[in-house]
This record gives sequence, C-alpha cells and structure tokens, in this order.
Amino acid sequence: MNSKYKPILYSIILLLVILACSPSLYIPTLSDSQKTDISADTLVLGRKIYVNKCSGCHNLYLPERFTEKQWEDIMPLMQMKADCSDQDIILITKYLKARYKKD
Amino acid sequence: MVFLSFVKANAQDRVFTYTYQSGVLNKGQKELEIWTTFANGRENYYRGLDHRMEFEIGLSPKLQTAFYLNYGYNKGVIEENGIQTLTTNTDYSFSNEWKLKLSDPVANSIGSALYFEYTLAPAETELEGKIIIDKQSGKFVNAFNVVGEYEFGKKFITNGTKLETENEKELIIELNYGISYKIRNEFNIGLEIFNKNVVAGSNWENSVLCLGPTLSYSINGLWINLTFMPQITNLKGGGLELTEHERLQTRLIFSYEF
Repeated sequence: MNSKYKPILYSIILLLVILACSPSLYIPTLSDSQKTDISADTLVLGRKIYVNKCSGCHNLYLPERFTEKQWEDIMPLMQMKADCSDQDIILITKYLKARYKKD
Repeated sequence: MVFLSFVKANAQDRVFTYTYQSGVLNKGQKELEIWTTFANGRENYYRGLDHRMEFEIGLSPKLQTAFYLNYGYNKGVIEENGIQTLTTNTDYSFSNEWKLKLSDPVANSIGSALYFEYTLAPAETELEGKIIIDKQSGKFVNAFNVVGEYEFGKKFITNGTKLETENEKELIIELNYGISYKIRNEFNIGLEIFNKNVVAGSNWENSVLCLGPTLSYSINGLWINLTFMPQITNLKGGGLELTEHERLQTRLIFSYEF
C-alpha cells in the first residue's frame, strides 16, 4: 500500500473503534428499576441531573467506582461545589446507588 | 474519609500533552498552564526550547477561552551554498484559543469538541482548527484529534543593501492519538502518537510519525503531564526526517487551577 494512504487508513480504524463504544455511564433499564424499587423515570432524571451538574467541573465518575457509604460521604461535599438543591442530591444519589460498588 | 482526597473536583482531567481531550473549564473556573517543549537531534546540531504560558477561563459549561504568551529559542547549524553558519533564533508570539464541548466522554458514546486558535507573531500568522473526540471507559482514556494548521507570513531576503520580502504559506495536517491507563488515582500512564504532514504550496513535503510514552500526575487542582516523543519514521520516503523535524521532543506541562 502506498505510504501516503497509511495515515488516513489508521485514522479511520481508530475512529471506528472509538465510535463503536457505548456510553460508559449506564442508562437506567427496567431491571435497575426493579432491583432498586425506584421508578425508571426517577433514575433517568437522576442521571440527567448528574450529567448536567457534575460534568462541567470534572470527568464523571462511574457509579461502580465507589461503595454506597462512599457515595453518601461524597455527595454533601459536591453539593456545595456544584450548587445542587437537596432534591437534586436525592435524585443523583438514587441513580448512583443503583449500581454502586459492592463492599 | 481518606478516599475523599482522591475525588477530584478540578476541571479538565487532562492526561496527555500533545493530544487534546474534550473537557472544558466550567463557568468562572481559571487555570494557569506552563508548557515547555525541548527538541533536539536534527541533521546538524540543533537544540530548541519552546515555552507557552496559558491562562484558561471557563465561560459557560461548554465553552472556554485561553490566552497564550509564547516564547521560543533555538540554536542550530544551517548550510547555504556550502557554507555552514551557527544560527540562533528567538520568537515571541501571542495566541488565543476557543474550545466548544459538544458531548461528554463518559455520559455519551463519545466525547467531542471543536477547537480554534490563532497566533500572531511579528512576521507570521497561524490559524489552527481541531476536531477532538475522546472516550473514557473504566480506567482507560482514548483521545483522537484531527488538526489543520495554516501558516502565512513574510520571509526576509538580503539583496545587496536591500531587504526583500517573500510571501510564505504552509499547511500542516496533524493526526494525534493518545491512550492512557489509570494505575492509581493520581497516576496515569499511556502512549501518544502524532503524524504531522507538511504541505508547502502544492508540495507535500513530509509525513513524520512520532510515538512515545506519557505520564500524568494530578492532585488537588494541580496536574503535571510529561511525554517523550521520539520520531519513528517519515511515512513519505522512509527513514527519519531530520531537516525540519527533531529526533526527539520532550514536553512537560504543569497546571494549577485557582
């Protein structure tokens, strides 16, 4: 293959690999709702607020990154930084705790 | 509670030095970045240091701007008409960048952003655009950039007792890719690749491929990234291109958010 085409080929392969990935942050399913006894709408709303309020300041942490207790410790700290209401924090916490890291 | 110190609330979580990621500073956040690039190993003796001091500020959750003061110094041997001369160059310039985040690397399938920068120097103007895509998956961060850079300016030539000017134009197309793995909360280790293509007029002059390791350390609003970038090959013609490019570049960026 002519070497001048190699960069183009490599970039297309890389682009396809990256595009093939799905979101790392889970999108709530019916099974999440049944497992946690929280409505799917509430979990979806929690995800939306989490993305909007938190991704502006740092890369989002996956729910599986921390235990239930650790998320409870983190939220008050982040509430002050991100200027979230108590209701926002309740919804975000419900979303994150649906797939928290098991102790 | 020790783990709380690892929960970063700082802005960009940048883990590369050559490859950009889609993150921007939030509204009102400010960051100072100091860049140093050390380049050496051209055909004749050559050493160069480029510094950039960058002040970034977030204008909205998706838009940021930055101002740069650039300073470059190099020393090398040039040969004209069989005569070798030792030259030193000092360059000063000013740059301004704008970055618009389009999607998030964790919440969306891919993160993406558009980037524009212009640079003004006494004898040269540069316009640069980037398409940035990235993906964070578990402990891995992938980022890919397509970069287009257009430089135009004046070249001064001595003709007897007069100085004559000649217009110079150059197009640079660059592809950057980086992959990084989080080995600890504060440390990332990875690889960066760039392919730089220089087109002068209608002549595609070279296509240099560089690849090297990158290290990143961050804590409490401070991050330091270091990349060693040896030249691997010239894709157009083979071997190494050591007339306009270096055998090795080393870049260090440290940044503090305040």
